[in-house]
Amino acid sequence: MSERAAAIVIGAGIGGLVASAYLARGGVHTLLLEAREQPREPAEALIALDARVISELRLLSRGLVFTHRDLPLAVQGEISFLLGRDLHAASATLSKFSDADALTWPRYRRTLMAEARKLRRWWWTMPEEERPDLGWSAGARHAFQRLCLMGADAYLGARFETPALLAALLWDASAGGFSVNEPGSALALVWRAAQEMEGRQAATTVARPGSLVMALTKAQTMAQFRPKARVTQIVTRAGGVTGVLLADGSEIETDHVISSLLRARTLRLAGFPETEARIGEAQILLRLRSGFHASSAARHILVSRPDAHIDAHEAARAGRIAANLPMEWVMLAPDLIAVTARPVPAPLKTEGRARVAAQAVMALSRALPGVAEALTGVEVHLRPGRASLSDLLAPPVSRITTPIKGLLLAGESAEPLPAISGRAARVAARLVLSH
Amino acid sequence: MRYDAAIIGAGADGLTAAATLATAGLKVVVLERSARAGGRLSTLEFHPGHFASPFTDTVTEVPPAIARALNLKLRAAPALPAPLRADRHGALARAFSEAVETRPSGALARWLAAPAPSWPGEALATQQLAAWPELRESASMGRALDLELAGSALALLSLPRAEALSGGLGALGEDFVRAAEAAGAEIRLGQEAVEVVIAEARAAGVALADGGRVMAGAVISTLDLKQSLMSLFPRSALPARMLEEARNWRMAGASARLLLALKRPLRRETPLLLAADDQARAAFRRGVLPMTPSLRLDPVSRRDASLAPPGAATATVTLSGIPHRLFDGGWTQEKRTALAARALLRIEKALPGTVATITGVRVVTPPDMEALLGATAGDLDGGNLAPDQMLSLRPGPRTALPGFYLGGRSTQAGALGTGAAGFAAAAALMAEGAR
Repeated sequence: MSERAAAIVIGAGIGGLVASAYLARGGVHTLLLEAREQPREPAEALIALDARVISELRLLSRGLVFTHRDLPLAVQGEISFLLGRDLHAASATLSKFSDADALTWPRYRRTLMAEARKLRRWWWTMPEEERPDLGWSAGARHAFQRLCLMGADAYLGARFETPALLAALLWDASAGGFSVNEPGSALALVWRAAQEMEGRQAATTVARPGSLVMALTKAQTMAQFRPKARVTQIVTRAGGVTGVLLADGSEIETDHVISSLLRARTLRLAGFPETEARIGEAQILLRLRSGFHASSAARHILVSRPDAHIDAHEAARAGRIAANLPMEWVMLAPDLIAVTARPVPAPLKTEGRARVAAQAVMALSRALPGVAEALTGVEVHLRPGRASLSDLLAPPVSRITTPIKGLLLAGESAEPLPAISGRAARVAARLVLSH
Repeated sequence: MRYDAAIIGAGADGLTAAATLATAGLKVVVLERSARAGGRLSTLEFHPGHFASPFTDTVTEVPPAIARALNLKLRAAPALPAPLRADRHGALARAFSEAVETRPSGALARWLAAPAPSWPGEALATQQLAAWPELRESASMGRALDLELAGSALALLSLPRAEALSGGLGALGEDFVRAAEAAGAEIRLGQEAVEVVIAEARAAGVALADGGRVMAGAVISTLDLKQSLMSLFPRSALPARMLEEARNWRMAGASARLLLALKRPLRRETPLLLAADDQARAAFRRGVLPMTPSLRLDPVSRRDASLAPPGAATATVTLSGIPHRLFDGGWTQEKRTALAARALLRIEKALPGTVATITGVRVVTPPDMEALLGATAGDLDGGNLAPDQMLSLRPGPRTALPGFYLGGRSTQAGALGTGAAGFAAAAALMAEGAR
């Protein structure tokens, strides 16, 4: 007789851990399956970690430590400068390069935040509720329609003139696989701002490595964690989930599966042929020897020119890795640097991974001399994804639910733009609990 | 002498507006900077006995009702797929109906206005031109489009392409002139409008370069949005929002032409299409001449024998993705020659022996189009056909200044049909008069 669980969570990433913590808290017998031995630790700065998840799961008292909050944006292009939350200080910095940009900055940030607040209704509205734009004036609707159809290069290009600033600000617009000159990319920029606002007091934070996973592991102790359990099939019958099949051949029966894997991968496990995105972003984790003393509390954007984003997108679509790949890096700890490079072609073969890693190390060596020598290990992960405008405007539940009854998504791809948030996992768990 | 309407520009739009208004009994004057009327509808004897249209061989179809009213002699354009045809007709009808519609005024009216139904054709704003293999060549001709980006499909709205029965586009231009004159409109050539005269917060006439003034009850500008708002008014005369819209309006010509006089007809009867390599778009962004430009060789005298002397032939080459501004300075004679050489090299490879039959070549670059037609940056579309610059997001014929109308390619109807924007502006003017 085969095993049975009330709910199964696939993948012990942040989404999986959050989902199983909520399920266990709700008294549901939950099995958390992870293909590796350990839950995977996020290798990036946290821009969108949901404040409600932090408080409801009491993560701060369970060991989550933020080493940095409110990381400023460090622009490292033709010229380098730092932009923090203080609008006046940022303006003063920009006035060294362009008076017009210095004048525009505070207005731009306020507009962006105002637009982001509007979008939050698109994050929460359920399909049966009224349209999020109900009650907007015709003028506001028109402005929003323009924003939706705009490329971020036009949106930002109408505001700023310093190329290095433009190049850095465009970074956020390429999240989710957008080219910065296509419709949806300006909206991606606003979505990123909306995700940042979720961090409430802290726009971009850095957690002490391991502390988020540790706090979440403590929060879900009531759930059963099973490492080295790779799911090979999600078993369905008559359009509903009946269980999962593991690599060792065993089957576990259940009515509810929450997957923190990518949408396409999850649906493939369930026998739904879904095409995976042809481009994505590479996450490169650089481990340094402990003697390497450097510290930097900033989100560094390495982009040579605004065009580099478009060049890289064209290259990635053609299956190539651009020569000047736009990158972002954050120092997670004195011996740990997270680099994100995008867009890159997907899937990324071993040779491609090596080339991306080499580019990252070379680019970083200019900012942090000695990094190459201090390197003790490199990991490259690929996060495939090619969002479209309609994805950004879809009701949130449509990202979490699937065509299969009982199969829900809780991973990064269930967010409007991929980000570690925990929000989708929380909603997915609540949907299971409401059954 | 006071006119009812002064129209700036004697292109297809200006002449259509003039014919429409004069037929309705208004006293109309058309002011044209150059020595001949017709604008882009021109035929040039570029080599003894050889004639060709310098800017383009075909124009976006004239809406059939206008073609009938003006008695134009047109070659039937190839039919569009039914859904596209419906979108195009629907969008044109919408543009015309909005031109004559009373707008709700005041903040309260705007607030109460029901959400406007979306425009026909709006679905194209998120589709790719690449998805229309049979139409993408003609839709992308002379433009710099990334066929794989969402929104590029909007270029389909500029199809089908029409041409004159005989005598090149110049003959079509003469048809327009005849129609306007027959209706009773006055066409003044060699009279450049430099400023719109404002009296009592209304457009009241046009000041000319020679110091003269033409007074009129209303003014229609068929120049593009940038020219209309930024060159015809002193800075302080217009509301800041209108100026900002004009400043942020993106225009970029990408089309260059070679006119070829040939000793004998080409061996092909149909156009030859040679696609660009994948570096061409990056070259366009950087302001570099592409090594292998995308081109379309059209043996025009095969269809219209009047364009070449007996036994000889005339062909045109339309190049796409040619930058208006080069990163290393102006369009020198050397660069024009280099462009022609690269294009001819490609043609020679595809059709060996062609170059040896050439007896005369004329090169028309984007700056030539700007100088000859007055189109900003040599843009023949009146603004990039990007999703945020199309359909409802393109300006309509009315402006914030009473009595001043836009009737050129930059407007809603302008992108959809030749002469359509002039007709819409005339309709808006008459609707106002009727109220």
